[in-house]
Amino acid sequence: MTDELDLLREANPVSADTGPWRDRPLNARAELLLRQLPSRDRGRRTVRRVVWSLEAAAAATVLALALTVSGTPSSAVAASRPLPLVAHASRADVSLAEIVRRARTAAEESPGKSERGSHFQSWAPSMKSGEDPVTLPRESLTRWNADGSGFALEVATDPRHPGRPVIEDGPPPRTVHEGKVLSEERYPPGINSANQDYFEDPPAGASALRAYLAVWSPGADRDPAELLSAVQSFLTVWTPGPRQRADIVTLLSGIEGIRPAGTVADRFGREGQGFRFTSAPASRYLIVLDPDDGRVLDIEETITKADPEYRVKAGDVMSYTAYIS
Amino acid sequence: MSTDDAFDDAYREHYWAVSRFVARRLDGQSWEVEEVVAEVFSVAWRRRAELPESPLPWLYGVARHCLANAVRGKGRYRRLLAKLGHYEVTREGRTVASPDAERPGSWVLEALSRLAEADQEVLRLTTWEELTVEELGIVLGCGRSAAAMRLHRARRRLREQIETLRRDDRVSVGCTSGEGDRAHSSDRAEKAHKDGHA
Repeated sequence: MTDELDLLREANPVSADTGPWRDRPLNARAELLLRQLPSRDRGRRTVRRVVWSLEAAAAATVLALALTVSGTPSSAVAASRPLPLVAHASRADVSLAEIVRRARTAAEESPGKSERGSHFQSWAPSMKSGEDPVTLPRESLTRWNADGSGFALEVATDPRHPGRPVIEDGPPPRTVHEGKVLSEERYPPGINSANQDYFEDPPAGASALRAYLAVWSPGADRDPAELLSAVQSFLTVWTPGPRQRADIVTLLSGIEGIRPAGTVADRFGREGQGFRFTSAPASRYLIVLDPDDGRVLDIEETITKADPEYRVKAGDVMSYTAYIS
Repeated sequence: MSTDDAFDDAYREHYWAVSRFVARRLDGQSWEVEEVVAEVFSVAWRRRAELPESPLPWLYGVARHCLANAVRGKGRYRRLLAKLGHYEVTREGRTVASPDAERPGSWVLEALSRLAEADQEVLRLTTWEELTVEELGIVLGCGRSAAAMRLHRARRRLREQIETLRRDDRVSVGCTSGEGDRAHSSDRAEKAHKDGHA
């Protein structure tokens, strides 16, 4: 007679070999969950008070924005034009030279490699002539496996307003529920990000990295604004290890005209050290660094001159990227 | 290895096992399972300092609490647990209509559903999650000998229920075949379905 435990084993309703819960590498959703676990990102220096005040101020613009989005109650709309981050100068500020030194030390202590793949939150306005810009917040996750397979996932989220609808791009922009998958790409083994920029492994050393960035972003080796733009896009493809972090912050420290701005609490509540750089014709960048290891936390671009045609005024945020990993 | 790294490793290694644990106990859609699994790992992340060297039984323990909270909150806990034994037979008659007529799933699940919830859980953990007696103790929060005793008693009660069903239905467990048996099983499935909603 068959043992009762064997009978029960055979009656297992959820198999490890087949079906949706079978054993396999993590899928995109599981990867995203791992990255989104609460307080994963530097909770020890979270400054919620600042974030709340940003949210409160941003709430004033929600009504105006909602009017541009059809069929959505104004109180429920999450996305609004982000206010520029605010930097506060203090005696505790850490200089860029000191951050470079710390990043170098961190790299010597733990020379980990850069990881292909990224996780970031970005905001960018959808602008049309004669219309108010609409801000489109999204979170992107890209991961690559050893066999060259991978996935890229883009989800509508706005960490400033968890649980509320988010605005999605489209003609016209419309609200979607938070967490809606905007795009999901899966790549078979062997692709290994070959269809992306920066698909080759980044080199060691600041000057070599600058030349590498210039391959995909011509001008990055001459123009500081191009260099910043190249770093911004490089970080959407790669998650730098300690050495690369040190190289990046070394490149930033060499930009003529970069100035300390003070301590900044970003939209995730992370506290970092801000540095400003203004470039012609009308852009100002705020780069937020982790003062301990030089990690780039955020890059924000604001406009310095009003443009009535697109209804933007001086100081408006034109793009914003927060690097989560 | 840092605590965070250990957590990451545990997550990557056991995400699907925890998902199966939840799926076996939650009569819900995939997204509901994912929701509970997300809660399990959120709780585990907050308690990651307690993560043991062999984390899976510990994660199952966390999952038990999350699962109970999730379904209790909707007032469905008891009902779902009662229905659990009829999981397969209530899912479009999947087991009964299977071409593999010898599969004893519906019989055993029906017998299992007749046991007390504590007995059912001991048996599920042993067979479906394939835990050792020591691991069983970790999940249930008791010592090894207490776990062994609970398993021993639960096995005996399951055996009794199987014998009872066998006598009632005059069908050999593990030896069913032919249309007549399938018709019998279909009747049972319908009855079980009704019981599950009672």
